[in-house]
Amino acid sequence: MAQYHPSEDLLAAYVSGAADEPTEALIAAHLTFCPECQEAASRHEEIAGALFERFDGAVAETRSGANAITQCAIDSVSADHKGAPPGSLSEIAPRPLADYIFARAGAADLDAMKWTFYGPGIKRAILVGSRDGALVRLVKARPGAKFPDHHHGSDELTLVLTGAYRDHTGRYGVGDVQCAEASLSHQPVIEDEGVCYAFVVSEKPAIPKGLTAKIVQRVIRG
Amino acid sequence: MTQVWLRADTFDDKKASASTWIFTVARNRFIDVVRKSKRSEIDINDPLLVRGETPAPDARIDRTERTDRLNDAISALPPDQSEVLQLVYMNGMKQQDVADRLSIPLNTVKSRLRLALEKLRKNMEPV
Repeated sequence: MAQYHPSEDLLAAYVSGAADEPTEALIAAHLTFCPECQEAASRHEEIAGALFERFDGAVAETRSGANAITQCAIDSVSADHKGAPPGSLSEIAPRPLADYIFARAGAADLDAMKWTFYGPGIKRAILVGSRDGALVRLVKARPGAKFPDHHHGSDELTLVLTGAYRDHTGRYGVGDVQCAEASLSHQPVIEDEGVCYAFVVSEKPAIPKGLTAKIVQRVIRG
Repeated sequence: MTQVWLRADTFDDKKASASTWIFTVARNRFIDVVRKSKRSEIDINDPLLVRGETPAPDARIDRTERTDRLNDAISALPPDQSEVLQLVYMNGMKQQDVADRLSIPLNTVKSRLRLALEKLRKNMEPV
């Protein structure tokens, strides 16, 4: 059972639809692992439902200038969205996350993804990147692998899919979400529980500490 | 409301009240249309799904009561808290956007939301 959960604010944003796409996929994946948060999310939905009923006519006019209800009424059923085909990806990632990753990576097999070196024993597949580095990525690390000491350019969410890692804030296992604030500086180490896959979302790339690490990262970034 | 009727077969009154369900259908549809990508949600057939305890058979009766109490609690909220609640849940705004719109600090948005949710949740607990 997951020990570390997304904040209530994040759950509210997930329920209301304010969370961005990768965050939404991460939360949906965490919910798949966590009955406790399934319950919490349905409480948020109940509140939203009650508000929805009250504010009925006036609802959501400001949602990007469109009226949500009208939109829903006018549009016919959209074509089926393509989900991820069965493959090793869907064995480690809950369905909503597997779909998200598949849509960006175009591969259903973990081996077929485009992995890049990030450090000894650590590889990552960048799903959304910026000029300064990765924003959304799948990370794969061997037991014992040590991440470069780094802090964050922005808040960062990590969801563990397999294995586990530890830093000075705790031990994160399958289904756990670490919400690292921009100010957090840490150096995760992979525990001896097999290969650790994690899905990481941030608004800005991580910032390595120390000159060597910075140079290495710059080289990696190309 | 076409979309709501088309999805009517997915409504299960053991799981959610009608208003909650209509909200979720409308929200998902909204996201599909505006973002042009599928809303990420739990798949109940996911082999990785960890299920909690199933609700008791009388959960539906509790829910009616709960919905009434929830509605009363919403009515009793101070206007500043209810305003934030509406912008967050109904307009689907990010907290920072709510702060900008109301010209108040982000932390005020957070605290108003927290206070409102605490009160509502208290009214959703079993008596």
